[in-house]
Amino acid sequence: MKYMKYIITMTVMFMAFACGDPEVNFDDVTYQPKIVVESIISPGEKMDGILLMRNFAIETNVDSNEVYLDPDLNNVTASINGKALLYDDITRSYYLDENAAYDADYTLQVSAVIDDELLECSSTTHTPSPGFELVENNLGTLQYRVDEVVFHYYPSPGTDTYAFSIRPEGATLDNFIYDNPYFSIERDDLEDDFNDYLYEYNMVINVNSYSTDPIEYEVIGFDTWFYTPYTLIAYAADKNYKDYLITADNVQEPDGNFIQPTFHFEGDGIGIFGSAIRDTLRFELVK
Amino acid sequence: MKHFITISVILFITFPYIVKGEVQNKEKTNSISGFVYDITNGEALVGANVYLKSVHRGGTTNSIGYFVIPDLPEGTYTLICSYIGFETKEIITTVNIGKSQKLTIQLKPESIETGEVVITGQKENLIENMFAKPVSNIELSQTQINQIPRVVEADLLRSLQTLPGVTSLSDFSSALYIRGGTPDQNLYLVDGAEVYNPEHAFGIFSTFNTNAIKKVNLSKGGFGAEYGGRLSSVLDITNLDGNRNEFEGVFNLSLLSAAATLQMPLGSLGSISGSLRRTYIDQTYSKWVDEVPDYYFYDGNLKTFLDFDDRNKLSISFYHGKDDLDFVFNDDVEDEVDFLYKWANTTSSINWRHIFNTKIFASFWLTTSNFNSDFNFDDISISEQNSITDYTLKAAIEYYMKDNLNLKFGVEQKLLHEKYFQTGRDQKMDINNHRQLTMGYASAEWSPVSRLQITGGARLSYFNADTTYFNIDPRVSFKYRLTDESNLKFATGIYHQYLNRVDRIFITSIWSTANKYNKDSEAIHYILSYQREFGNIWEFEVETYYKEYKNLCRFNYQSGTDIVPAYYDEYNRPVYTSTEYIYNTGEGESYGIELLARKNIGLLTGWISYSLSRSNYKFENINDGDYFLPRHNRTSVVNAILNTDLDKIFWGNRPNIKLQLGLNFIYGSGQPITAPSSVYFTDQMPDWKDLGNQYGTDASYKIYPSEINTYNLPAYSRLDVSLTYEKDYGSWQLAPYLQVINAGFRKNIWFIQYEDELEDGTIVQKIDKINMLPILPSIGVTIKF
Repeated sequence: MKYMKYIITMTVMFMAFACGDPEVNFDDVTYQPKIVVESIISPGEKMDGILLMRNFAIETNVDSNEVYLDPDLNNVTASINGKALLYDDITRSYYLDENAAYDADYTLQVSAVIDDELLECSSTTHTPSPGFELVENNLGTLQYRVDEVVFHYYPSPGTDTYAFSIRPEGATLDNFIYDNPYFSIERDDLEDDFNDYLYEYNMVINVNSYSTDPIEYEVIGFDTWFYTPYTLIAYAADKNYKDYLITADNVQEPDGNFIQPTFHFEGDGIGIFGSAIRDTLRFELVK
Repeated sequence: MKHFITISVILFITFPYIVKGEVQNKEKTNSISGFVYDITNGEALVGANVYLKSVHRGGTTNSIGYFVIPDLPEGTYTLICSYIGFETKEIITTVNIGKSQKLTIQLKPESIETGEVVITGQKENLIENMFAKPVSNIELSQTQINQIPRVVEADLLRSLQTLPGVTSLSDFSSALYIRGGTPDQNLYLVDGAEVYNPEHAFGIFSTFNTNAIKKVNLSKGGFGAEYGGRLSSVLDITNLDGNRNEFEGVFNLSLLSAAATLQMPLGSLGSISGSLRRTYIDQTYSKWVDEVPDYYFYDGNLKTFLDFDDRNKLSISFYHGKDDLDFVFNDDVEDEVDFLYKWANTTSSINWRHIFNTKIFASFWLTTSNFNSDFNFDDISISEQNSITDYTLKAAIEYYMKDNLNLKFGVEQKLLHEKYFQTGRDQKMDINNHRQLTMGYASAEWSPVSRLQITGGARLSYFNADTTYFNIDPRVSFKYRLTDESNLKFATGIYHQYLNRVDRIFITSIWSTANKYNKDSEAIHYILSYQREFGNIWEFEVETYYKEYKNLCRFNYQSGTDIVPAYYDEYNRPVYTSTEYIYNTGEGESYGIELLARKNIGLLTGWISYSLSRSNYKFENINDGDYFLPRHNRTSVVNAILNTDLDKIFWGNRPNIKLQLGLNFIYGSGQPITAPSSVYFTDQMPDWKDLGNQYGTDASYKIYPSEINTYNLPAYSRLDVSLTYEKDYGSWQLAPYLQVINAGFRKNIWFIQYEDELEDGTIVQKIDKINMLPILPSIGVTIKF
C-alpha cells in the first residue's frame, strides 16, 4: 500500500495546482498618450471635419465628452501645409476654409498638450487623381437574395483601393432581416449588437486603376441586414486610408495576440489622415 | 551542381560492390549479426539494444530489427539483448575465425509492473540503452502512448506534448513547439513518407491512429546527417508490420469515434496490418446540438510486410485520411447558406531493405505524400484550393566497416509541387510551382575507445526553385561513458529548411517553398546532455541547448498593405502569383535546460520533467526590428506522467485483471501576450458620424497595442486522469475506460478580448477571458482479440 501514499500525495498535489480561475491583470501596462486624428479630405471639397482627439488608458472609464481635443484646454495648434486650422465648436472638429485639389500633397501638423505632456505629430496624404465615378447612382428597389446588388465604377488612375460604406438609412429593430440565412438573431439580442449590423463597409484593393472599362462590384449579403433604403458611399482611397482600413481594426491575430496597425504618422499621432474621392449610390432592399 | 548529383549517384550505386570486394578480402574478421523480434507476433523490434557483456561493445537494431557487432576476436561471448517492455535475454554465443555468427533473437513482453527487482548482473542494461540513443532522442511505444490520459481520443501529438521541451500553444491545438521551434520546423515521417499537415478536426486531433503505431522516435534536436529538411526536430513513426503468428484485432469505441486495427500473417511470406477510424459527430452531436457543425473525419492505413529471405525485406505502406465539414450558418431558414471545407492527407511508401552482406545494409524508398484542401463558400463566391505533393526517391546504406567504425550515407531526390488557388469576387491568388530538392549525406560513427563514440558527417542539399540554394550542413556528436552509471553527450549541427508554413487557427495550414523572395531558413544546434541511471530503474537526464535561427518566415497578417498583383485577369481582378510580402523575415534564438526523471519499470511508472527555456525572435516590420518573445514561449514547464495498476495495489496479483490509473499533470508559466495599452475612437468610414449610434457598443472603439508580447498570461496548469479496467476473457480482452480532462476544472486562459459598453454616457472597458478546455469527461471501450 506504500504506493497508494505516493499516488494520493501526487494526485492531491497536482489537483491543488490544477484548479482555479486565474485573473488577468494589466495594471502595469504603460499607457502613452497619443494625438488621435480622424480626417479623410476629399478633392474638390472643403478640408473640414478634421477630428483631433486623444486616447485613453485601458480599463479606465472614458467620458465621451473628453475624447475631443479642445484648442484652449489642450493648447492645440494644427495646420495643413502650414495654414492654421480653425475650430468648429459645434462639431468639435477643425477645418481649413479651402478646397483640396486632386493629385496633391497635404501635410497635417498638430501639437497638443495631453495629460500635461506636449505631443506633436505630422502626416502627409497624396490625394487621388480625378477619374473615379460610379456608373450607376440608383439601383431602384431590389428583392433581398433574389436580385443581385451589383454596380460599376470607373477607377482613378493610380488609385488602387476602393471602399464602400453601406448605410442602411432608417435601420430599426423592426426592419431587421430576422430571416437572414447567416445568423439566427432574436430581437432582444439585436439590441445589444445593433451597431454591429448598422455600420457595414467593404473594400477592394489592388484594383486595376488604369482600366478604361468600368469595374464591377457586388454588395454581399453579409453587408446588408435591414429591409430599408440604402445609401452606398464609395471612396477612392489613398495609401494612408488603404492601410488604415486594412490594419486599424485588424490588430488582433487569430490567437488573440495584438499587432501594431500601420499608420502613416511621424511623432505621437495615431489614426488616419488620408484622402479619398467619393460618389454615391442608392438602392432599397425589400423582402 | 549537376556534377555533384551525378557523382553522388554513381558513388552510391557502385559503393556496395566496391566494399563487397573489400569485405570479402577481410573475411577473416568475424561478426555477430542477426534480427530481434517480438516472440508473440513476430514484429521486428526497432531500437533494441544488443550488447556484449565482457567487451563492452554493442549496438541497436535498425528499422528491420537487424544488428551487427563486427570484427570480434575469436571467443565466447555473453550477448545481452534488451528492449523496453520486454524481458532481457542473455545468450552465450561463440565466434569462430572465418565464420560469422547469425542470430535470431526473440524477446518476450514482460509486464512492466512486475516489481522493482534489480538484477545486478544486468546493471549495464539501462545505462547502455541510454547510451545507445542519440542525444535528445525519445522513444515511445504504442503502450506508452495509450497510457497517457487523452483528450477523448488517444493522440500521438498530444502525448508528445507531455515530454520536456515539447509544448503546445493551447488545448485546441495538437501542433508541437519543440525547444522554441515552430510546428513547421518539425519533420513528420510515417514509414519514411513525409506528412505535411498532421492534424484532423481543426487541429484538435492528429492524423496518426495510435493503434496502428509500432514505434515513435522523436529527436528534439542535434539529429544526424541522415535527417534533414527541417530546422528543429524529427518525428519518425513506424507503423505495425503486422502479426506474423496469428490474426489479431483491436476495436475502440468512444463518444466521438470508432476505430479498428487488424493484423494477420501472410503465410510464411510476411504479414499485413490495417486500421480504420471514423468519427461520427455528424451522425450524433451535430443532429442534437445546433452549434455543432456537420463534420467528420476518417483515416486508415494499410501496411504489408514481405519477408522474402534473410537478406531482402519489403514493406508497402499506405495512408489516407480525410476531413469533411459542411457548415450551415443558420439552419432555421429555408434559404440555407453554408460553406464546405474538405482536406485530406495521402501518403504511400515502398521500402526495400537489402543486406548485401553481414556488414552492409541498404534501404531504398519510394514515397509519395499529398496534402490538399478545398474550401467553397458559394454565397460570397469565395473558394480556395491548396495542395502540396511530393514524390521522393531515397536510398541509405549502413556499412559496419570495422569494430569501431560504422559508415552511413545516402541520397534523396524529392520533387515538390505546391499549389494554392484562391478566387474571390475581387481578387485571385494562383501559385503553382514545381520544385526539386536533392540531398546527400555521409556520416561516420567511430569509437576510438570503448567509452567514447564520435559521429561526424555532413548533409548536402540543393534546392531548385525560381532561384537555387546549395548548402553543406556539418553534423557532429560525441557520446562518452563517464562512469558505469552515467553518460555525457554533445551534439551540434547546421540545419536548413526550404519550406514555410502559414499557420491558420482551426483551419489547415498552407505550405509554400523557399524562393527568391523567401530565402532558405537555417538553424544551428548546440546540445549538451548528462544521463545517469539509479538502481537500474530510474533514468535521469539533464540537457541544455542553444539554437540559432536565420531567415525565419512568419506570416505577415497585414500583408494586404504591401502585396502587389502580378497581372489583372479578364475581369480586371488582381492576380497574385508569388509569396512576396506574405511573410516577415527574421532571426532568433532559443535556449534552455531540461531535467527528466523517468521510470519504466515497477508498479509505478512514468516521468517527471522540468524545462526552463526562452526564445527571442527578431523580425522586420515587427517591434521596430527589435527582439521580442514569441507567443509560444513558456519559460517554465513541469510535466508529470504517472501510471499504475490499482488492481495489483489493492487486490494483489489477480489473474487477467488490470485497473490502470493514469495521471497527466502539466504546469506551464504564462505565455507572453501583447497587452492593449490604450483605446481611441475613430470611424472606418467618414460618413458614419451621422448614421447614429442607437444601441449597444460604439462602432468607432479601437484598441492600440502596447509593445509586443511584454506581458504574461496567468500560468497554465491541467490535470488529466484516466482509469481503464482491463479484463482478459481467454483469447480476447475488454477494456472500458473513463477519462477526465482538466479534472481540476481550472479555467486556463487562451487569450483575452475586450468589450466596451456605454453606461450612463461613460464608455467602460471590460476584459473578456477566452478559456481553454473545461472539465471534459469521456468514456470508451477497447476490445482486443
